[in-house]
Amino acid sequence: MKKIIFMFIIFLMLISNIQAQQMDALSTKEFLLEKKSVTYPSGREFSIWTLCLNGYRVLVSGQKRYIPIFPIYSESCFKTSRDRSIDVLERASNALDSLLHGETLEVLPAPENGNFSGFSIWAVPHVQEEHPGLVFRIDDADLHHFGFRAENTRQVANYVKNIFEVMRTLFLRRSNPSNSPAMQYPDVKILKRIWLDARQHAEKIRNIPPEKSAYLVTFEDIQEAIDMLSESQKIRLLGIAFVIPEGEGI
Amino acid sequence: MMYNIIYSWLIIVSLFLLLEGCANRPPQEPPIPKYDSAMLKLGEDLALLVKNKRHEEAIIRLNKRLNTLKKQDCLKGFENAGGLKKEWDLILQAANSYEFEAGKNYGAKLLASKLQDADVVEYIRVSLKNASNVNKLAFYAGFISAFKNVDVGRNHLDTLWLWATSH
Repeated sequence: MKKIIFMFIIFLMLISNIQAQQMDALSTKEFLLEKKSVTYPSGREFSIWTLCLNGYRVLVSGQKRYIPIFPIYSESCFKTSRDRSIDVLERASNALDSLLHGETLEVLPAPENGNFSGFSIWAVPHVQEEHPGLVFRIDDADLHHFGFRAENTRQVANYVKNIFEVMRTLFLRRSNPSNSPAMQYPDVKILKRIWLDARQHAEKIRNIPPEKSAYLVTFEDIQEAIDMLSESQKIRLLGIAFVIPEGEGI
Repeated sequence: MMYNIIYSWLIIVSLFLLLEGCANRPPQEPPIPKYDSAMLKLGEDLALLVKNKRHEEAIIRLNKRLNTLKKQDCLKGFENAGGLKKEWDLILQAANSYEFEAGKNYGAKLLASKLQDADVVEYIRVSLKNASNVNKLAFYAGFISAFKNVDVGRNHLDTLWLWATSH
């Protein structure tokens, strides 16, 4: 009898552990997945998963929101869009590690014998012998969701790559995002505003000398800068990743 | 006396003939209403679009024909194809709405780079927040009518709507 109870307890522990792992899969230290649903006026319904930055909060009309960095519009080669989004979450986290080790992000066409068509973003190592690692797929099925300016998946992949890099620079490395090629788009310039406000917060509130403030911006400085944005600017910040904006040389 | 008898007979005969004529006349059928076949077809097409939840396209088509629209004929076609009167009222009201023109204006300005996507999002969030469904549909239809390809316009506005309302 004792054996059966013991086995039952182990069984329960295993189940709870599996469930905990599944929950973990929806959020890592830097990123999380958020489901967004909408009902259009005609009654059509649509929902997507978005890869968002974890940690920073944006209050819009009193509601806490996360900053989206990659919308997962279709299931691509996966069974469900949820499966794809979990894959995206894991790959994005791995990409951060790769970038810390000197790898760079590059846009490349999907492999000819691969399981999807379009362009994708890869973390490419400097060492020739090592293989690149896939980060984001831009499937042909995703293309029309990025708006009327999205002409092909290469263009969208370039935009997503630029957004991922500029968001990483500001929010995760807490560095100046001004040199990013994405800074040409009006809405992305909000990131520069946040950077300047965060530096000012560091100087005025935490008394950091101006010559050092660029290297000593903290998470709290950036969060304060986000809180200081107007509601309209916050909405723009939350929509940067959704649609290809107007601009030259994407 | 003689004349009176003759007159009476004449009146009786003429009354008889009159009644006989009425009785033999073929029964008059109720007049068949003549519907405009083009309007019937338009109504059927609109009903099909509404059935497939493509209200925006139905509203655009209706808006284009507003000046020459024969409402009763079109409604007949709409109902023949299984459309409901309340749906007809919805799309007709939307096609006549001020919001249709507002949407068209926003779509045209976005295409001409005089507005940014975030401006459209702002309008959806603020001005359409408490608007009726008719007005939302009218804006939707107006916006996508500014595009040469309505599917491209719909896809773009779908994403902007997601951006605006999922916050």
